[in-house]
Amino acid sequence: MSLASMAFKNLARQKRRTLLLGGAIAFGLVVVTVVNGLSGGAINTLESNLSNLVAGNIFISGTQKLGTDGVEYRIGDDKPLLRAIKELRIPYTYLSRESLVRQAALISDSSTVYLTLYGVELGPKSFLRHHLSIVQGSLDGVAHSDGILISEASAKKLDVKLGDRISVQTTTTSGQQNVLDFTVRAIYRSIGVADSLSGAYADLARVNSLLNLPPGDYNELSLYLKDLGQSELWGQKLYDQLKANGVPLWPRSSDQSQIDSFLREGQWTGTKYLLQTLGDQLSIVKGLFSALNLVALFILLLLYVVIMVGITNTYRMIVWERTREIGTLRALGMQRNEVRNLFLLEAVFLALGGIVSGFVVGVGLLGLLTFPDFSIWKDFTILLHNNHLSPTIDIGSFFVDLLLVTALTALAASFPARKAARLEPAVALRSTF
Amino acid sequence: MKIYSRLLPVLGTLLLLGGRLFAQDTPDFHQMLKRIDAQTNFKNTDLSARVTLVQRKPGEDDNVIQCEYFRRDAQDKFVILILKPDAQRGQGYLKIGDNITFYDPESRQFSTVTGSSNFQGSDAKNSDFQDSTLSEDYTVANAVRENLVNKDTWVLTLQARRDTVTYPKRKIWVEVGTDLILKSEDYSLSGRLLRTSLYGRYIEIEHRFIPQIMRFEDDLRKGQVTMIALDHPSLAHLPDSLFTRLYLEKVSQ
Repeated sequence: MSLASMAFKNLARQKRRTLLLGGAIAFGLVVVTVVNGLSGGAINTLESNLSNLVAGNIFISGTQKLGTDGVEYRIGDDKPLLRAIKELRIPYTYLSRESLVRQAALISDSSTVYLTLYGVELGPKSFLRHHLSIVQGSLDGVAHSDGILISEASAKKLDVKLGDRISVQTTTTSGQQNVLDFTVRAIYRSIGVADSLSGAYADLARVNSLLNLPPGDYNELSLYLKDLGQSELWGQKLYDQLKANGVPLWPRSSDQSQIDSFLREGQWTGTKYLLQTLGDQLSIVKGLFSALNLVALFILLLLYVVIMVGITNTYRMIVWERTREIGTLRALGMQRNEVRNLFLLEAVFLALGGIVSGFVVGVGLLGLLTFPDFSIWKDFTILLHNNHLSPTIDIGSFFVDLLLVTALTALAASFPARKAARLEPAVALRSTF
Repeated sequence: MKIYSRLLPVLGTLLLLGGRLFAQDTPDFHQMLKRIDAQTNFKNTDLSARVTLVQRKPGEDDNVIQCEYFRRDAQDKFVILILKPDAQRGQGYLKIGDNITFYDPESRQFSTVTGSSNFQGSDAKNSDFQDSTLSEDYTVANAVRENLVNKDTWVLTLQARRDTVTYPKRKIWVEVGTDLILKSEDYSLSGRLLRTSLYGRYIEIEHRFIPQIMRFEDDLRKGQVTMIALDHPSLAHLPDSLFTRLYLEKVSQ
């Protein structure tokens, strides 16, 4: 009989004990699988939803130096940018020319809302038609008009309905105060806490008038990639290509205060471009989720320290209970290292069983969590895909957990296993237990 | 025909005299802007004062902000340090030349703000606290005489000389005889009235004038008003170290 089959039989002999120890290991893995699955899915869904709202995952904004009087945000000549995109054959679904107004004040008779106003091309091919869920009104007729598209939450706060007029106040690209009136033509479904990120949308030419930008100009070029997961890869490739083509660029950065200091620095002229990916802009959120994963890992480690102590104590007891059996096996010719390996194999099988079953239960729970409709969970709809959770299963993390937990369990069992191996056969056989 | 030929020189002389009389009565408005700047700026001394700002929004409690205000017009600098409410205590603004920096003691971070940004979310702009540059920033497009609350005023319509000036168009009511601004209206690039400001109780310090009370009415958000009162104005010399980032960092600790 091989050591492995003996180890299996020994585990089967004490079903309750095996179930309790394996269950403890499995529980830890359920927690980690669920937390990692939910946070990973939340990041992916957040990226996907925000990509829909801000029309892309790679953004290039233009900054033009105005003598000593500051900076004007405008793309100006976009030919070098479009050439680099064409040269790289970037696989994108949409290329969007936008004029962004950050912190635009939307003013109704009763309230004011501050959000980003996106001046976009609102024709039949507009990305908005595919990525925003219009709940009232329509995008038809918004192009080349004074129409504005706002979220349900903004409409509620402003107390406006379709057809109502609102004023939008901002500063022009050169810093002058400006106000234009818009008509609410459509209202889209709110995305909860990130509603302020989504903002409002209006015709590019109208927003250019508000910013006092020439017709046809814009201040941000956005690419919506076919594969969202490749935004970092293509973002870096595009940055390198633009640099190789001699296009003046700011260093890549996700830190707004650093970007501000770039712009304030006096030693530059002409137009320079800033390339960012959605990942850069979401770096803070991603950091939060990474911290959550680290906390989950820390909890798992604490849990396993407790489980390890339990395993060590249990195996001490097992060795004590099976002292005569060990003596018999040693008398029949079993070597010391074989005795040690027998106990280690038992622990490894126990760990593997717990890990696999914990992972299966965790995946099952994640699967169950995809069924409920969380549409009432309005503040967090940005983390939902069609009102449902969309968790991810990270096979890589599973194998890391597998190795880690198996090694920890084997380590916990190694002390009693070595003690068992050191038992003298004659002494063990004389044992009365 | 003979009568007309005799009357023409008489009419011409009358028109000429009338024109001269009118010209004598019409001041040089650019010089007027220069006088306004000169008598409200403190180029030879520093200025400090205690500022109380009351922001009134419909349906909300008044928001009262108290700050210390230091100005050095000769070097185009100012510092504003928030004293109250406690939540904003230690926040500060530092203007050096064209750059205005805001300091937040909670994050210990400086960030750049513009002159056209609203001061602490009120209807006052950051640029309202700097020296007057009307003659540099604007040309007078129109002037009419008007009575404003029993005071004889010139209403000057100003057009910005550059597109970097916060308000592209302004109207100011200047008191005849004193050249003090009593009221102003600020317009957006699209021509919309954004803000009406009233200035009252000017005090004279060493031949310079400073309004003790200012009232800013938001013409887009009806009922929203900001009032600013200046107390304890002083022209005493201020230390150079006050107009630095280090001062804002230290004083907030």
